Amino acid sequence: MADVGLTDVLDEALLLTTELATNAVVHARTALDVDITADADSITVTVMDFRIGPITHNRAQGTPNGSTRPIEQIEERGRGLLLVDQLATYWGTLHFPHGKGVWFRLDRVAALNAAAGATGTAPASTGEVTSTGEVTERDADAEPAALRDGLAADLVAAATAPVLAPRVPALGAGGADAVSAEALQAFLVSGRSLHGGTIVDLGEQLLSQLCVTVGADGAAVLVDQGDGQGLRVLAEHGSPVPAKGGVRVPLRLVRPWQGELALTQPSAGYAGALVDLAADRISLTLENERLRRTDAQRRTWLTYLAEVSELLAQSLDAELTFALIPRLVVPRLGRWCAVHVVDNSGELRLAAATHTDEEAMSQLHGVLTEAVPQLREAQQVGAAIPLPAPIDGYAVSMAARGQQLGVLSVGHGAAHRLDPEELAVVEDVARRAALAIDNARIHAERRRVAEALQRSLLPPTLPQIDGIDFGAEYVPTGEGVDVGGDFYDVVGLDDGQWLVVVGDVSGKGVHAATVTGLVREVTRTLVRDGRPLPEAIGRLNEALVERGGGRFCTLALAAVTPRTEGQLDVSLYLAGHDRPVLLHADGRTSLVGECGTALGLLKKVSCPPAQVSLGPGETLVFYTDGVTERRRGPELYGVERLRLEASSLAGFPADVVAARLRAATLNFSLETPRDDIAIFALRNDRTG
Amino acid sequence: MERPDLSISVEKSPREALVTLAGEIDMSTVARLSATVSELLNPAPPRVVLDLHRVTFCDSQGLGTLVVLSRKASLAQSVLVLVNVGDFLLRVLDITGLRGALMIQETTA
Repeated sequence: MADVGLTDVLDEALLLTTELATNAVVHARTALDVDITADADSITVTVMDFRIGPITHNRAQGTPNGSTRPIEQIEERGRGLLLVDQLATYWGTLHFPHGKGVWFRLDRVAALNAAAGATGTAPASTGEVTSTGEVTERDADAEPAALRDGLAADLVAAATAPVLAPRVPALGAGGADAVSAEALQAFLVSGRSLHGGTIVDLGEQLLSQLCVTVGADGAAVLVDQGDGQGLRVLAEHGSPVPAKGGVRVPLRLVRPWQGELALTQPSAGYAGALVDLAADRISLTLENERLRRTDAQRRTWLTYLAEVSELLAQSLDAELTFALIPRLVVPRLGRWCAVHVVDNSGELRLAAATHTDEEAMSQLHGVLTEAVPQLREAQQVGAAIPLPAPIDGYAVSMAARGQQLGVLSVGHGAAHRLDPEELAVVEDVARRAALAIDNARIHAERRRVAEALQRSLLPPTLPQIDGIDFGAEYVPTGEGVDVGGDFYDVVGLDDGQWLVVVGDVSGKGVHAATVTGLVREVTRTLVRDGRPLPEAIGRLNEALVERGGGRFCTLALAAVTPRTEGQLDVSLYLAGHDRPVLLHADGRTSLVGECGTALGLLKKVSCPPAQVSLGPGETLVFYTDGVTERRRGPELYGVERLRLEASSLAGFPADVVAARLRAATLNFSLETPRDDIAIFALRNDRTG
Repeated sequence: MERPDLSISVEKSPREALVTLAGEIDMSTVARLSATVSELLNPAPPRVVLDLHRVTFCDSQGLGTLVVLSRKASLAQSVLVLVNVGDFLLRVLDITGLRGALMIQETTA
């Protein structure tokens, strides 16, 4: 032992091995395996256990070298790995499917240095020692003390069994060289620092070892990450490396990354191979980093695109979509962004633009106006095309379902060009935006159709008649894209009578609208023809059974006849419809009418008439189930609330009554109406 | 090889209790050391001196125990003093930051 100097590290080796073994015994509670490899300069010990899981590392909170903290606060346990960290030259962890381990290596010289401490004693030369030995000890269920006994013997055996082995590489005679070469070799072959320190740390350590080993004054790793900032220093050591001369080795990186390892002229003749090795080592780490970053960035972009899609999908309004797009792009993909859309005449019109700097907006508008010819060109190309100065950006056409919808342009200013990945994202955003715009337009078109259809089903104005006051309100369902099944109508008859029709066809949409049209026109034709109402109802029922396509309809028919004494006689037929509310002049309310059969379901319907006399100031209120079934959570608006609301409206004109009831119904709940709502008020306006 | 153990001998005087340790302080012996010193602290002498001159090994469990015992001693209005601490153990105490937490003296005064 003394011959090869390993006694220097025996204490440390024993202590650290005991610590690791204790850890394994205490935490893993499995058998353990101790591997010892030693040569003249160092000893490496690996302690494995057979339990899968993280390595327990309860580092104590004590600061090295003289803690001044009160003893009450000092931890009793958890210094095992701290000792390993402080005493070992290198240490690390291993993970295997069947277990895990901690290894440490003690270098004789490093140990001496540490022991010499602040006195600054130069490291002793190891000379030309070439003996290595290897011993493997397998100790199942070892106890630390027993283990230690065996270990000491092993250490001696390992150190005193000389086996000639080639050393890598054959280095110069200087002892310090040999030592740092050893350290360098450890760097080159081990995975150390890959997980621990940063790339910069690794680079600096590697450069410092390299400089000492090959006798160079300074070294640097220069990397261009393809971000437009050119070659920059990633790590350096010693004196600055001149821009030209010295030794320069390109790093093996994948474009757009490139770089080199540069160092001042080395004194050692064998430098070339070592520098190459070091360059490879740093290349490997950088390439790892590049892949990691690319991967992370790709994931970020995917998340961003998903967010863009989600936000765009929520907007069904074309103008809102235009306004939204630049705000999604800035500042992620550029400092400014503009959306031009193709208007009805085929011209490009600026629909929305935004800039990170509000004050630059007017300038941006000016530049964009001048760039319209270039934007037109971009429209013809599928991919993003660069826009020259002064606009300095990119334009990409927005097309959906084979239709040119406009151009999305984005810019970062002259200083920063978008990288290919960012451009691909811009193109992707343009595609998604185009789809959103197209969807919004289709939606708007559909809404226009629905509104037109609905208008055709309702009288444009109500007739103005002396003595009879009509008021009506209609609320379409939800977003107004669907035509509802509710309708109302007022038909003047020959003998001074008026017929009020309020109905509700089941379902909604275009099919319901056709049935609504059918009901409305058939009713008009039949009553104009002079048919008595019961017969008209029967005929309507037949028509619906035959042609209604399974849809049914509820209908309230009220034939209103003014009487000379100031009364309005109302003959009321309710074909499955809700009973109307009779609002007396004093605010009392009652439900009137006899219930009959809904139309379109049975071949024969019965619809008994009810006679109601409306006195002056009295109002008859018809409504559809959109009113009574208006929901607030599980609660329905209901007839009683309607009556209560109506009772406060005695004396008001019919249109006010209808409008107030509509407002009350809508305000009942925050939800958008699920069903359309129709309210019709018929008031005796005569003074009697 | 025979398994080294920790031998503990105690000398009591009115001024102090001197505990002479020989062997190894580790996982398998700390319990005994702890029990011995705890017993000495009831009732507590002015100081308890641990002579580590013949201690050949002390791992982090041993260090932890020394800290606990030192804490116990001060709670019992006594002082735990370590004497004849070896160089290597001193280094370990430095590394672990425990040197300042323990009272260490050169020799038995």
